[in-house]
Amino acid sequence: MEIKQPSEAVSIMNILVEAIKKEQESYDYYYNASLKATKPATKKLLLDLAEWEKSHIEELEHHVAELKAQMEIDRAITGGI
Amino acid sequence: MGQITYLEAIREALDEEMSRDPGVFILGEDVGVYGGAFRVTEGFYEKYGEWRVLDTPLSESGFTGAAIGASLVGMRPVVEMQFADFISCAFDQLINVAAKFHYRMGTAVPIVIRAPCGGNIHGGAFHSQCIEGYFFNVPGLKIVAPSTVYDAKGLLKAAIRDNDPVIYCEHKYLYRRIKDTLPEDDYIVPIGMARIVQEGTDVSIITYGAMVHTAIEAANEVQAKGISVEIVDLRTLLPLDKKTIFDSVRKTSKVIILHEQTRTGGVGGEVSALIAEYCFEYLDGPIIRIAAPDTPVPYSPLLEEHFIPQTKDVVNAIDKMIRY
Repeated sequence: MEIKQPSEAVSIMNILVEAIKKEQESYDYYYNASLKATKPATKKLLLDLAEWEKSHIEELEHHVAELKAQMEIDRAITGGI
Repeated sequence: MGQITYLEAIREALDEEMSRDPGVFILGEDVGVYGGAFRVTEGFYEKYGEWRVLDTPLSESGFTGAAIGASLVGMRPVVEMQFADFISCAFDQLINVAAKFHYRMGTAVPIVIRAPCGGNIHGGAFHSQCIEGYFFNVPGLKIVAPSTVYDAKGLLKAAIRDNDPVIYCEHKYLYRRIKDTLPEDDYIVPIGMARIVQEGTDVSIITYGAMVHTAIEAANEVQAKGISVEIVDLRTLLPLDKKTIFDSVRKTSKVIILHEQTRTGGVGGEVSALIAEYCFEYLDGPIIRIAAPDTPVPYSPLLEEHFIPQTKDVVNAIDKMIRY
């Protein structure tokens, strides 16, 4: 039986979607920890780290949007074949 | 109301105009059941029915001719060329029929030709062309080229309401890459009016379409060096808004013309000639044109990147110009 390989674009999309999930988990981890922190310096550090993860999410989402835009164009050119 | 993309703005304009005026209808390849190659008319077939969203055979000349005929009896058809590259098949209908009816018979031909144009999408020579130059010297036609979400909607609505044939150059690269929040109220962007994207004092960049965004990137880059760039977005290519062009040139005295279309016989050549004719005394340096080289659009992504004017090309031109 022939195994159909996913296209490069689909593979990258899967990687990006997975990466966003992991970044979201990291964001939640730091944010929830900040809620439990008692010292202001610790709270600030954890919130800074959470913001850092958020910026990663935004960057990855930009890549997803870019990839989707190109995939739509490719589909239009090839008729989805 | 949330943000929408450039493509969604085109869809909204079509939807609103079809709701407003029962004479507006759409025809083209795969625009109906399939919803258009780029999904612009998705859901229209179900909403407006088979008589207002017509799937046509692969015959650009045939369905453009049909649109012209319909316009002569009071309809306002919107023709979708699946890719602008295929518009050449309808050349005779546009040049010898649509553009001349007003002069021959005094009859309006209110048709819009939607032309998904432009490269940077790895589409190769048959799916990436800018076609405005083919029609730029044809009296009787109008050509618009929106660069923003706001203009995409406003110019399409204006084109549909216009009594002349309008070629609407929508850039495929912008379809899903730019977003904006639009007014809820009905609005149009008047045909024939350019827009100052940003004011500046040192050099003017005159451009349109996707290149407006390249110009903005370049302007932001040179701002750090203290160079103030004025950007003029032509928006309408035929007829040109000469006043806005001349006002900008007279203000900065230095001009760069930027377009994605190939250089020879392009819009930039005419803009350059007009400036030389009417603003010569104001110029402090040569007029620089940045355009694609005179070749078909290459398929190779690396060659395509070389073909399409890049931010660095504009920055280099500004650096050169500013020394005058």
